[in-house]
Amino acid sequence: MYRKFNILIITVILTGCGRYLDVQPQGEVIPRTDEEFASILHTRLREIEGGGDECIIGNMEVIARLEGCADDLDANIASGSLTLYSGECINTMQLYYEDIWEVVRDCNILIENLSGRSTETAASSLSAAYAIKGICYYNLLRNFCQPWNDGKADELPGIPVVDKFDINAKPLRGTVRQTYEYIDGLFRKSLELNPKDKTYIFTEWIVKAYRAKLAFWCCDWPGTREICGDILDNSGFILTPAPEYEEMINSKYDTIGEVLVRSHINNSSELDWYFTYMKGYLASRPACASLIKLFGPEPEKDVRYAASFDRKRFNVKVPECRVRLSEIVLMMAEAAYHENDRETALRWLNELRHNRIEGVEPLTEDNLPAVRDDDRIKVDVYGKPLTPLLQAIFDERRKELYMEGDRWFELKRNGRPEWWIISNGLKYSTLEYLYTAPVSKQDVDLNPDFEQNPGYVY
Amino acid sequence: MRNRRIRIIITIFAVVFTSAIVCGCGFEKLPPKTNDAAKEYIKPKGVVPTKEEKEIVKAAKAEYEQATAGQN
Repeated sequence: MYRKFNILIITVILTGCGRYLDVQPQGEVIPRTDEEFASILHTRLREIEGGGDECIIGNMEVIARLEGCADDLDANIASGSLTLYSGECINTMQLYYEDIWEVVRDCNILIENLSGRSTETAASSLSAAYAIKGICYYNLLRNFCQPWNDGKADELPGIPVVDKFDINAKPLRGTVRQTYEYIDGLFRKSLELNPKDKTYIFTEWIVKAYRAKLAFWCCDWPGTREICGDILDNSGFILTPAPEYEEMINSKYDTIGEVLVRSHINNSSELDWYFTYMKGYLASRPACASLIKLFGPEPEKDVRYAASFDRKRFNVKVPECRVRLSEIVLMMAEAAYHENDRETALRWLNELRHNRIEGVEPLTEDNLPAVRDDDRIKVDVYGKPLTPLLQAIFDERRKELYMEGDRWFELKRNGRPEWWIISNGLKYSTLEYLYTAPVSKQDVDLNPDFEQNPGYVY
Repeated sequence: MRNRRIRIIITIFAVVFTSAIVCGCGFEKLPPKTNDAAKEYIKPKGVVPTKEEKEIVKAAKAEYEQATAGQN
């Protein structure tokens, strides 16, 4: 009887305890203190510093994809080791979409748990979490939504608003206008916390720069001018003069001169071996003739030329994602142009050219070059034909932000022109729908009401 | 005696079976099955270029060769 009783007890214990083989994770804790929550954020910040971050500021991998898809490098001459064209990366973009949401999830965990705490660590972490989440949403907006269109901003699908970590939630996409307002709100919340601590990277002027980029993308010209004006007047940053340009732009790890923020500032990153390969890939496709021609008959007078290309037109510019004051100047010029303030537009355009081209004559209404008819971008954000002044702003932007992942978004913003390249005897076309990458198919499968971008079939 | 042993064995099996059902089988709400669905979108295929398109590429290559000839 005693033996039977023992068997019964053991049986009940073994079947009743379903977790007797579970192993408690070692060295991992559920965060409770401010420092423990901050460590979630510091993992992301460390990725930015090491150059591994693709979702927030971006890195060489992101530049390689964007420059491979865009047209500053000419795949018709040599396709090299880069993405051939945008149609090639529609499925890897789904992974990018999912990766960005992982960063948003981390930010939401911090925002949910640190809101209301009064320590300096909590405030700095919270501010950075709002900023990082805002930048992630900005990247989602630019990559996975159709370009801004004033008349359709309340119809075009945006990005789902996710405010808290909830595995069962199935938010829908909303509209691009709602997404714009939501992102701007995130940046405002970050700024309200007065971010000053450089340990958290996203300090006041950096958050404001991203806020300006957002307003610019969404054609909010008064907003763009206000924020850019604030940065230009009060940040203390100045345009790097021509003699110091090359040192600034080709600095391997330092944030110097007009650079507000950049990726890869850690000079002993575990990914350095990989970046050596990436630089080789980026130097495997020559620059296209239309870009080279923008430097004019004496390209050596423009400091950007020698800092960007070798004699065979291959890239020599250090390919890092950055936010620089020159981009703020260019946004200011274009915003002024769209508000019909041509004098301000010309003034900022000349300010940039003065700091880049030796002995350059200022551009005036009378000496602006005529609009070329063979350019890829033929219309502005409103679909109107280019004017000489807007073309001059675009030209300067193209030279200035070459190899910084900007050109793809310029093409997308200004008419999504269709074009093609030939490789191995076949023609591959960058069609209008390819400018807007597909959201993750898993999200669409899980929620039939979740709208996929047009053009994608399986 | 034999009947008693059978009753004991049946009782043990009943207890084990009931315990396994009650404790071992937790209710799990799984997301819809999607692992057999296609995860990738179809990439656009390349097409054979026209003669004019080939000429444009040829001209671009010629411009490049001429502009960079002898520059190392």
